[in-house]
Amino acid sequence: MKGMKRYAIGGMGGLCAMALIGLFLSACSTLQRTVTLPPEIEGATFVGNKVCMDCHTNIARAFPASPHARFHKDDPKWAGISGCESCHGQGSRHVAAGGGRNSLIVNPGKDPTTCFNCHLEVHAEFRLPQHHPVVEGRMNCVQCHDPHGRDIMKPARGLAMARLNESCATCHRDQARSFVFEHEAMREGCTVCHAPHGGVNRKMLIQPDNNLCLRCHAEIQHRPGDGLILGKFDHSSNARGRTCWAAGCHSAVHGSNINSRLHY
Amino acid sequence: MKLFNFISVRGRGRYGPAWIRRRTLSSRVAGYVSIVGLMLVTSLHTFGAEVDVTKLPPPAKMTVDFDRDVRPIFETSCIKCHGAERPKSRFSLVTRESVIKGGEQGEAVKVNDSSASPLIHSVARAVADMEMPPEGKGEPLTSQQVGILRAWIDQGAKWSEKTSNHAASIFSITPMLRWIDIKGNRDVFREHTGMTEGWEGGAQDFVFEERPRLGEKFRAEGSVFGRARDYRLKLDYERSDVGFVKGGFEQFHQYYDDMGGYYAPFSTKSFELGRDLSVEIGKVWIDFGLTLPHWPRMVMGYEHQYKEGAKSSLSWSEVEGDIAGIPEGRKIFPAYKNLDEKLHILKFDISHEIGGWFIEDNLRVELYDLQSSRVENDFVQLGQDLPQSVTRANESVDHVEVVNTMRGEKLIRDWFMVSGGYLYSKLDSDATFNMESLTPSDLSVAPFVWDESQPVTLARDSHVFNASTRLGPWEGLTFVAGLQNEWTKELGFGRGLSWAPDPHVYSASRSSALWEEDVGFRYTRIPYTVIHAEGRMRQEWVDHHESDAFNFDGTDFIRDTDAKSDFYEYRAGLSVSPWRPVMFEGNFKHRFKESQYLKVIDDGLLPFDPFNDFNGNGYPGHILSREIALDEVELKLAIRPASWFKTTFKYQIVATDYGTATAFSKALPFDGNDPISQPGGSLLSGNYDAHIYSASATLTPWRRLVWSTTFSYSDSRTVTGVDGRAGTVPYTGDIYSILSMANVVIDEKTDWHVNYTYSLGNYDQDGAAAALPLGIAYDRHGVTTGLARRFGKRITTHLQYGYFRYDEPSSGGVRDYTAHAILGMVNVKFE
Repeated sequence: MKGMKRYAIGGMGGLCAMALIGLFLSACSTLQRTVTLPPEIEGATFVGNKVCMDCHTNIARAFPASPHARFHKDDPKWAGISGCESCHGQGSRHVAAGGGRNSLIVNPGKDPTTCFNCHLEVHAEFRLPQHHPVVEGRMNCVQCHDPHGRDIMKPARGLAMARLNESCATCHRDQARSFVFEHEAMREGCTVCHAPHGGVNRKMLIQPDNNLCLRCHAEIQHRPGDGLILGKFDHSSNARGRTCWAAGCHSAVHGSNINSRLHY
Repeated sequence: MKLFNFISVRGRGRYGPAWIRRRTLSSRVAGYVSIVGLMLVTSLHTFGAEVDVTKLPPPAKMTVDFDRDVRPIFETSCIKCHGAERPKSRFSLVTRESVIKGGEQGEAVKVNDSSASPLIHSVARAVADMEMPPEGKGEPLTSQQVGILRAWIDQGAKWSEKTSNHAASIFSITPMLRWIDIKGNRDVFREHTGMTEGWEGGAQDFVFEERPRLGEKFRAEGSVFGRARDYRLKLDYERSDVGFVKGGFEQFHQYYDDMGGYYAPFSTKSFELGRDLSVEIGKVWIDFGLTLPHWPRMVMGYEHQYKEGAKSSLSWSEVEGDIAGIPEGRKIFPAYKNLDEKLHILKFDISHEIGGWFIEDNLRVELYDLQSSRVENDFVQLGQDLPQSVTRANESVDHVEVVNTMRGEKLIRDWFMVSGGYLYSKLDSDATFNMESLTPSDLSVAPFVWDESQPVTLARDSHVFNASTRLGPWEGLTFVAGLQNEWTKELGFGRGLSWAPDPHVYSASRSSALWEEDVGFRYTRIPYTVIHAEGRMRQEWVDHHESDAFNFDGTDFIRDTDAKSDFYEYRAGLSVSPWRPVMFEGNFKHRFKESQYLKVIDDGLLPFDPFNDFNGNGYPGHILSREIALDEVELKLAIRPASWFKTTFKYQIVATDYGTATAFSKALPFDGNDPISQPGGSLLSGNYDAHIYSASATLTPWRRLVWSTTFSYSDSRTVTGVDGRAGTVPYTGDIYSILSMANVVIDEKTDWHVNYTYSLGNYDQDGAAAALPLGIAYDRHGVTTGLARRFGKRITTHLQYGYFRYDEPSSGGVRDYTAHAILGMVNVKFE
């Protein structure tokens, strides 16, 4: 039995070695194909911004005001670095085909790989344990961001400037709805408590403990030894061993329809 | 090429001839008269007006091959305007029939007679104002190219369908089969990856596209994962210049683990609910669109969104036990929330260009219905299997909201754009609430409803106005500016809560006025450099009144916490690229918001209120102001020394300070002793600092390998103003992430790829003695690798293996998992 195991391990090792040798040898052979990584498009060349603008007039009209246009040169030599094609890939085959949504042009709205080429830290955030399902293909960047508009912190369409929590409320109506008693933190925006792309804590909280609340709710204490006075009540015992939003405490964190202290 | 497009000159707004756009009204009238004249002249031309054919380049003396000789000319000079999608003047060059038929002006090619073909007259620039490509849209055709086109027409205008870019139909499907084996916590694996253990089968994707004739398209695409009940289907039927019908159905599951907190000193350190928590999230939609020429574009649609299931909640419940004989309680028992959310949306969109203005109106009518219940245990005794009682807070909310957004936009000059918009929304909502207790140990006992509200009503009206502009008459300098003004009024009213001795009435009203301005500029005249700066300011006034005659806490209040807040954010930065391979970016951002609260009223309502001496019971009645100040610096360097190597480095530093000022107040100590006088004053209530380093490299050393890796490291520290009190230890730690992928083309038919993701977080807290440690320490690996092999032109097979591992020592290993996955796919494609 022990001998068989040794043979099995030896066989596997031999297979791996043969695979590596085969890979090395095949690397020396000629090949017609070439590898690409978005936003590259195989066999296509850069055409420059002006060609794109001939058809995409609505986008071309608004784009110069976008933060993405900060470094935007019309010189075709810079097309792959600063122009439309730096995100959408080389446009010649798309143009030759007369346009259309197909494999001849990159649509970062479907595949965020292009966005991640620049937004490195955001890519890393989407790979943390708790994240919005963007890399899984169930969401995309343009659901929350308008890449061509003047205000990138809102979805496309609608008014030119974002409204408070506009992007988040599209999906999280339960949390962003109106309440009789609001949690005033909502006036600061959802991102004051949640990491919008991803994080290590459940519910993508920026902090998982009472520090999250105390950033705003801490106040000068009477003197050491008098406990932890918050909101005219001693929270010494409450804060020990539980979060502010624990069961029976301020669990209605987004707002409440019956209790001003957000207990229920 | 825009053949015979003079009729559409007016409809195309700014793309009309410059001499029309720049003139006054009277001269415009003259211009339109001229257009009519031109129409007549060109109509005559269309019907055989004289063209000096002797000046046309002669036909090429060769046998023309369409793919070799003609198609490249079309693709280089014509197709970008006269392709399959929305061709200019409705003249498309994608089929022989469409070329011969012509566009709005009729026949373009007379087969076997190139000298009489209007297409040749235009490309030979033999007719004034009809030259193709138009000036500025491409290089004129050479005499040789015109000669080739002439020869092609004279030889019968033969076409090659085999190599047409306009595929008549496409069908592609990728059946898949996947198996996942998990050792350890499968719920955490599902939450992290969105995948479930065991067998899964379905279609990774499928596409069917049919173009029965030019300008008509049907497309269906989607994916199906049967066991997970994850579906995606999109249907699209379009007819150019008529309209479209688009619809679809999407559904996926968001998974949650059912564990609560972890407390090492307890004999049972963690608890789980024993439930598969997941929420089914989906939507169904259908849109009908009308895209008639010269008509406004109209879309009418319906969308239904839903979320149904149970999700984890962080409202954990008390677990009580003894540690070395000392009673100890920690809230670590898991909780969850049942959710049934339905949303119906009726929509109507209309858009049109009028006089160069792009006008758009979007109407949405939303009907929302939410039924939810938060389920929390009252407390669990260590050593017992079940909680003694469970509290369920049931909430029901429905609302009708109408939102209409109107927007206009005009490019007055290439350097001057204006836009404006108005949004109106009105919401009416009803809600109910009740709380009930259940006894898990004896399910025969009916739930005891111990409190129930009468209907709660909410109403909200908003008016939002927006105006913005972009202008840059100076070369290299562009300004943007915007103004947004929002008026919102909200009213909430409730009564009930059955056990209260007096009628429990509470209400809130909130009126806010908000002004937001933003300005920015970009300067590009410095060689190789772009400088930009932006500022955004916001002023908000909130008139806020709340009252509660008797609430759960036995307190009552009436208060006005009117607020005035000022917000501003400044950004400035530059991009420098002295050589194309190198680009450096530096940005600085400063954001500051201050809210001041004006205490018009802060008092109790009822004379018997035991806390009335405290001068108001409603939090935050004694808060005077709050501040949040953020500074951020971001530096980025991208280097591409060769076409096969690109690397990027990025660094960010973020610092945020939170400040709070309170007034003198009296507070009730926990032990019931005499009230304590809180002195009030300002303090730095919180501070957050973070450094984020990231780097990436993409390498294509030879054409059969691409390798890309991103590394990120961040550390952050959060300290609050009561550091050390009641266990509020700072929240400090760091995260490492590595994302790496490689694709290798092994031979003409075989590819190999490998992906590796790794992250490590270390936010562990050592505060068990004083508090509930909630920090996390983990490391996570994910490797996928596989081969793709093509068989012929239509079949590609994929075989992949995945390995996933997660260790979380801060939870004592109860959330760890190791998983292996095997995935097989076969893509079959017909074109």
